[in-house]
Amino acid sequence: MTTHDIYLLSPEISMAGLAILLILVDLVVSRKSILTIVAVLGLAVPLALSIVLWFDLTDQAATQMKADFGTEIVTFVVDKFSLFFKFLLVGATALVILASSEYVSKFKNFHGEFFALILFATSGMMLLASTVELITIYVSLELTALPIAALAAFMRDSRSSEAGLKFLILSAISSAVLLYGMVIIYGFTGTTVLADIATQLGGLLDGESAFGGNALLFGVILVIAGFGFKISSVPFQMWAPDVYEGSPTPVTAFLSVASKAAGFAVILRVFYIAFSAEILSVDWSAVFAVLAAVSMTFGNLVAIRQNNIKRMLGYSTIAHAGYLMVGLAAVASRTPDADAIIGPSGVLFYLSGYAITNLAAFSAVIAISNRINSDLIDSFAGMARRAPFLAGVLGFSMISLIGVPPTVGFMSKIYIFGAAVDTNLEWLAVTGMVNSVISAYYYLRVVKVMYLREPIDDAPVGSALPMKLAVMVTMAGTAFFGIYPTPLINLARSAVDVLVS
Amino acid sequence: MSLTDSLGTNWAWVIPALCASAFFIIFPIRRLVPRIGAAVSILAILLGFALFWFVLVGLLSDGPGAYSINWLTVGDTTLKWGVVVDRLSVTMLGLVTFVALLVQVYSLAYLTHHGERDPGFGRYFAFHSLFAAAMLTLVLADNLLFLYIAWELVGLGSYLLIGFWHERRSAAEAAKKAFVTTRIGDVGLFIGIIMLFKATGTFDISTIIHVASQPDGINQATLNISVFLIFLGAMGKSAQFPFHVWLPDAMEGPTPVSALIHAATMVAAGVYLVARLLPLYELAPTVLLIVASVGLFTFIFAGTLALVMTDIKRVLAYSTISHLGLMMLALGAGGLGAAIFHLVAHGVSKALLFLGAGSVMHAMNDETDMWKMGGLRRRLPITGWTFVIGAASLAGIIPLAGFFSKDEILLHVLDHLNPVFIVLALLGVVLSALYMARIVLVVFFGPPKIENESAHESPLVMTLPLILLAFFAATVGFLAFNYTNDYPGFGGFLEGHGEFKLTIWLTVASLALAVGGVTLGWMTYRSGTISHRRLAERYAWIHKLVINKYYLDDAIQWTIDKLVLTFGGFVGVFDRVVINDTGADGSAYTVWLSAMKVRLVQTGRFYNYGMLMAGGVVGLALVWWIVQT
Repeated sequence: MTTHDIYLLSPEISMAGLAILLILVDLVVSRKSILTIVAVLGLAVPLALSIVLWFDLTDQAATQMKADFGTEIVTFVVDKFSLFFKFLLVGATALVILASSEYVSKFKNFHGEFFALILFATSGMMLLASTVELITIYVSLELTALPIAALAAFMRDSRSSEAGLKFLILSAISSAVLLYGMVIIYGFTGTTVLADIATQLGGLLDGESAFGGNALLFGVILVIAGFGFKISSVPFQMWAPDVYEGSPTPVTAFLSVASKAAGFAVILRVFYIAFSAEILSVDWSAVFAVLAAVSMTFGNLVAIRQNNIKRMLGYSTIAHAGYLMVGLAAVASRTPDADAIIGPSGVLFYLSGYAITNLAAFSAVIAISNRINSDLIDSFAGMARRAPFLAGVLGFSMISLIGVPPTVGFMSKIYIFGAAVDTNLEWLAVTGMVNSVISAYYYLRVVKVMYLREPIDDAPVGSALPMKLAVMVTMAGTAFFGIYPTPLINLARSAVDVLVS
Repeated sequence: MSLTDSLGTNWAWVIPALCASAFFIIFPIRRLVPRIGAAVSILAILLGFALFWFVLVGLLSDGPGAYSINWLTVGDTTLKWGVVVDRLSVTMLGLVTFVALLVQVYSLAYLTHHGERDPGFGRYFAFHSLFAAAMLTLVLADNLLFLYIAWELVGLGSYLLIGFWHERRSAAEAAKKAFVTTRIGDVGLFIGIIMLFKATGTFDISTIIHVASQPDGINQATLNISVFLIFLGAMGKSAQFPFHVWLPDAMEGPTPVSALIHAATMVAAGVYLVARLLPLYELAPTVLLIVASVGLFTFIFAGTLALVMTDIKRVLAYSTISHLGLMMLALGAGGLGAAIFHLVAHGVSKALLFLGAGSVMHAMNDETDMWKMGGLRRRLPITGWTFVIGAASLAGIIPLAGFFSKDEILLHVLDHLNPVFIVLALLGVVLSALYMARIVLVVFFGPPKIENESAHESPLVMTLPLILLAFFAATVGFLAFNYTNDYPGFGGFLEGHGEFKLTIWLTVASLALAVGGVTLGWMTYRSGTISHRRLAERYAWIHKLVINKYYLDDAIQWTIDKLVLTFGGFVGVFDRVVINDTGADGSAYTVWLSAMKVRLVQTGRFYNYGMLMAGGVVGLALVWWIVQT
């Protein structure tokens, strides 16, 4: 490892370093609110290093990191694509930490560890966005999964423990599935480097391969299944609602935003680089199209029946995984003259919009439910009078989740469904729109309960300053990018250029 | 380069941005510190007015400019937010900022009765800023979508301001009527915009005009229908027959609002829209003829109504409708410069008249009945004499603004339209002079009435705008002449070509008719040579017809009550039984039922989940296999 490699890895290293620092600080300070401040300010370091790397992206060879596996192979790259996700992940983590500043008082102890685990998971996700080699992908994936299992169980009551255990075991099953897939692909191509896989597959798919293509394709299916778990796509979504409901709410927010973003990062990388052969991409696009349609329909239908707002948002993320997979299905090879990056840039744009909106929703939910000690939607009755600001933000983020202007949810839906239409997937766009209508039912129910029902209790619900800050930042982002999304779209488009060049 | 050097046409977008920011600043603090709200609002529009001069100088030295940023790219279409700074938009910019500034200053006093501020003081100025931002965006917009958004915001601003005293039922009703009536036209406008977009693939106005002017640019039928639909929107906003019904009712709003919105700015938006798209209309001569005919009809129709109204503000309202008709007539004759010239002259004069009427009402405890006024020029000298100037300008008396602009319009009508048009237009000129003479003579001359004994002149904050407006109402007309070689008169300046012309006999004829109208008014309402009461008795049926506004409002009400509501009732039953119970509730019930069933997948048990994942892998493999074969 050279100094240059350390420079390339510096955002991840500083993130892990910050986590260790927090554990140490926790030992010496008695006022736990200092931890939040240290964590949020400390996040400026990985962010700043990512920005420095962004402006240093001139020589592509200089941004690759090689590891010695007998032969030297490229395992890690720094490019606009990975940096986009690093910005997103650092930002989301900062907001989650702000939003949990009050929540952590529920834990008797281990405040520092709670924040540290979040940061460790984030550093794993940041690695995941940068890896270009199957073994490194697997290791980074485990690096994110284990802290999350611990975080899910952090509350140490029965539901939380159940959530942690479920996540751990099901994540192990999915890892096994993923590894099987990777092994089959390695068996066919003799390499674990994504770019080399693409070259080898090109040769295999041209002629008739010895086993027929089918065994190889089964490997790809297993990879989809393994990643499908991460992004909570149907039929690998079962863990999501149980874990979302049982986990501490900030962990739920973290799971729904950061974990999902990292999952999509690695899917885009693997499928656009390793499986980019046209004959292959037309097929996996169809698989993602079916998964998208099934996920959004399932997520929305089941969300209708939920009474717990965390569980409802859990199903809602399944539905949004479906909308996001529309972008995966929209590959350019489906049509002769399509915009090559419309699909993947749609995924990135939608992910960032969804992250902002969902964090707004979760921050408001954390702020309210923390004070009223209930996650039931019915207990939010009359919240418009008890906490006008928080209710307004929650209502606004619900509007954005439905996809109604002037919110970023609307803009990103337009963009991603537009990508589907451009790549001859009109049926998928229509399915998505019908699903958006269905989703209005349960999102608007929250608004209805807050604004039209009589409050159970007249006591106003206040919130602490870090909470207010998180809520305001996300709310402003939701509105701003809903009115003027072009900067975000341009950023997303420049980030995905490396996938298709 | 100093700041003043860099201030040019590229700063035009700042003007609406200032007003928009003012709105966002004032709205949250409107109740806490209403006075600061008013100050912010006036400061914003004052800065806007100052910037207008820099933009104007920039325009004259560097020529027109267009500035845009990309808003959104969807597929192959890029939507933009952009401003176009040319002679037309800068003229409107000047008019809107100037009148808005004076009206806001005037409102400071108007909304204060006996030292007590109206409870909605802050809200009033917030809405004013919102309206100004929308209106300024509308005149600067370089694409139809952006224009449409501003157009609707103008409608919203108007709605909020008409209904400012919303606790009064009539005001709330009037606001609703204005909004709904203009919305009917707006639907046409929107469909027209979408049609043009489909035909050309862009919202950008200059590109659309460019495409349409190509030999095989836009199919003629498409063009005809789309520009006609757009004209419907203009008819709604500019209160052209039969959409004019909302404007007289809109007088329920505070009088300064009427001066700003329903005299100088919002109602001018329709005229501005047609003027902006005039090259398209010229490619569709049939529609252009419709524009001219609707304009002419409205000009005369509203003129007769202005003659019989007894409410001072309603007379002015009908006079406004009438003059908007005259502007449309000018556009129908292809006279862009003449129409906008009259728009400016009328805007200044009518704002003056409305503010004067407001001053009278302020002095007489909100009395609006003309017949309860009289001899007010002695009690309210400044209001009285400025009012006379405004009225004479609109009556077409030389050398005031209205005379010159009206003259240019008549010239265009004579040159470009069937002779019938000029004859009828001259008749309208007589009507204009007559009702203006009537209002002035009844309100400000003649013997004082008991009701106005305590009337007193308004404070300086109110009379100063009157004096300024009167100055411009008297002098704007002189812009008509071609003083130097590079200034071909106002019309030529706006259109960028053409030169100042004069047809002596027409000028003399129109002036004679205007003076004749005023004389007739004198004989009727002052000297009593002709008794209007006796006339009204003799031709009772005509009088009844006109005083009931040709029963048009009743006809519309009847149509709504009998036809629309009956049809609506039928549709309502259909909706309840077929759409709602079977369709919506039916499908919602299906969704609900499926939700019940699908939910059961989620058992909470590990082995179920594991099985489902394994099944999922097999299922995916099947999907792939099916796709492949």
